[in-house]
Amino acid sequence: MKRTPKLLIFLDVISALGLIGALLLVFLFTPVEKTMGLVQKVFYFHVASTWMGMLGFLLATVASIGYLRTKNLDWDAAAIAGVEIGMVFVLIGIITGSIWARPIWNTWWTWDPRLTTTLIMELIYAAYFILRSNLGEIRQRARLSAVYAIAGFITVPLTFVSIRIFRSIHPVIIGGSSSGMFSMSGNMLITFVSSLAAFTIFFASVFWHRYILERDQRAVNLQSPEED
Amino acid sequence: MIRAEKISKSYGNRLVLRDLDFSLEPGEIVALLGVNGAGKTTLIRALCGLNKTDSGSIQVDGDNLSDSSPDIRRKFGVVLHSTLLYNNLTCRENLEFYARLYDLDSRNERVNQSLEMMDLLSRASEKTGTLSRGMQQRLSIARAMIHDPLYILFDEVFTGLDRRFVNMNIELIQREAGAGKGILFSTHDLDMVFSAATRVVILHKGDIIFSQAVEVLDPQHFKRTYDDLVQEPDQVLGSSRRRN
Amino acid sequence: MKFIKAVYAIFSKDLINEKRTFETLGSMLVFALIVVLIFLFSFDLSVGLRKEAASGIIWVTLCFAGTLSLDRTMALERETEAIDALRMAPYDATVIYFAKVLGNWFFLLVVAGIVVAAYALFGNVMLFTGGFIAILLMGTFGYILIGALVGALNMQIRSRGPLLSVLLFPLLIPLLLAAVNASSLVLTGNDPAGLRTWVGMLAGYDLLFLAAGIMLYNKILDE
Repeated sequence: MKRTPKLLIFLDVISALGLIGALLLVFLFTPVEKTMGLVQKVFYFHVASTWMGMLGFLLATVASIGYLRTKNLDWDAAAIAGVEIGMVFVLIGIITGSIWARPIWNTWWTWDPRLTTTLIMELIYAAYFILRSNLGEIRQRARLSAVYAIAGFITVPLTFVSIRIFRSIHPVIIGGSSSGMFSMSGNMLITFVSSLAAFTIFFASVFWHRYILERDQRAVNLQSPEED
Repeated sequence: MIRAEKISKSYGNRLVLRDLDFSLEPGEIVALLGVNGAGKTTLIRALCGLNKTDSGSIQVDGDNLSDSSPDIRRKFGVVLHSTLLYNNLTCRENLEFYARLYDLDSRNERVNQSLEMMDLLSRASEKTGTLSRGMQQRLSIARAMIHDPLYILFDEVFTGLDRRFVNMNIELIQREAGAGKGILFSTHDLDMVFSAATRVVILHKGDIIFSQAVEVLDPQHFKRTYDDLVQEPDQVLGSSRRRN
Repeated sequence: MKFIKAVYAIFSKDLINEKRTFETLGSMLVFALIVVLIFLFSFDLSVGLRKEAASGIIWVTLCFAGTLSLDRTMALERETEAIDALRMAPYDATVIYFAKVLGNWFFLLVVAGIVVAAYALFGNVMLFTGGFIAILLMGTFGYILIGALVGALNMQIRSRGPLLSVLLFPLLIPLLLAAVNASSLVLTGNDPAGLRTWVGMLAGYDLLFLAAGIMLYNKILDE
């Protein structure tokens, strides 16, 4: 197994520091929000995590296109890394969202479009895994799951558009509208952006690790070819 | 001419075709021998474009198979182990479908001629699924040839079928080759090699280890050594592998 | 054009096959009617609610019934590996895509017509308006566009049955949302702006998956 690239080690350190730093900001720097109280602090990680989850899916789709064009299996490794990491981050996003929602809206879940579409994305990528598990041969598996990932991702903008059609109780924070539930003060904004940055770096390092793991695993498999 | 140069194909970790060179000329009848798993089916499917190769190139009459327009596929007729026919359609309907698919002129005549040539006129209005395997393969051959392809590839079509069927098809093959078609058939039947083929090629572990014109071979000697050849190719052929 | 003739040839062949066995339409109809009846029995709805529920019940039924033809039309090509003969035909692989889209759409529309009639009959609800039919056409078309793609994927995996639904349904959600909402609104008629938006989404979905189907189908059939 090759040594972890220096840049990745650096990234790991930065992301660890970043996450700790963000936590500190969240609990020490930002004020407690007036109406929602302490639980509002979940928001910083909730949004960051969800956005990273989306990023993972985006990367997976790009990687899928990359595989279909170049037939280089490294793209496929990137795709599976993207989907896996994406799924975990979105799951964290959904759970933190629930935690936030319960005291505020008095419900663990609501069928509001943004939530629902996020859940659907999780299902699409769960289906992606089921598809992969039914395919043995690596090239066919890479090709067909790439097609599915692309098809799945195409539905995302459509489901996002449906947010604008339904009136949503999900708070709109950027480009806030009348249905926004709180506006961010300066401190909050700084913390929000910092959390986002920390999560992005964390995402990058986790993704990179997963990608290397996948690639190395395949190299090991290929070292013992079954030639008749 | 179909010319494959340095083609390789893997499935998972398994290298099925390795850096293989092969050619098929119009008028040739090539018999492809090799044990199960040697790569015969993969080679045949690669030559007509059903399976893409991982590397190497395949030229058909000068045009690159993978870059060309789909029209290049008209040059191929393929008969596989499965029949590629619709069991619920009658023999005639099956051929009519393929004639329509290839946008052929005078479809009715062609279909009738085809049925007649394969001795299936009497069963033309019966559902294909009710026919015996031998007859289905006959219909499959009719299907493969209905658009008058230049190259006809047979993948283990004759295995396990009766003598009369085999002989009928040997006549057919020789007729077509005489008309300038290039024929390739894979088989385990050594008799068929000597009664039908102009060249014999042996595939072993994804490599062509033997390629020779049939007329220079002694049938008895070949049959005797074929089994040994397949088990221990190096011993039989010596360290220099003979190629044409 | 040769391509169109070829699409039609494959489509006709699928129709002849169906005429012989009636297995696809038969199973779809039986299944769909049972599902509609189960819905009508399970929810003891007043007439007003039956009209409101009509869209949802009908579309869900069609989604399920549709999987039967999607599965069957591709499995037919796998049975005797006829798919290889289709791939050897001198056309781009999308000729198969369009032919299957046509065939499946035809079956689904037949079933839709009967399901809507059945619901109208048993539920005593008036459903046959021009707008409703138009949305039925748009929605089923979108369903088939993505369904044919997933059906081909399913054929490549050589699986039958549940996997097709697992792969297909998450992708259908926006289509289903748009179709159900548009159908409801066209029946009640009290929100023309909303209706326009949903119909727009439906059209967008159709176009998007038509483009996706054309671009991706080749990759699915490659080997």
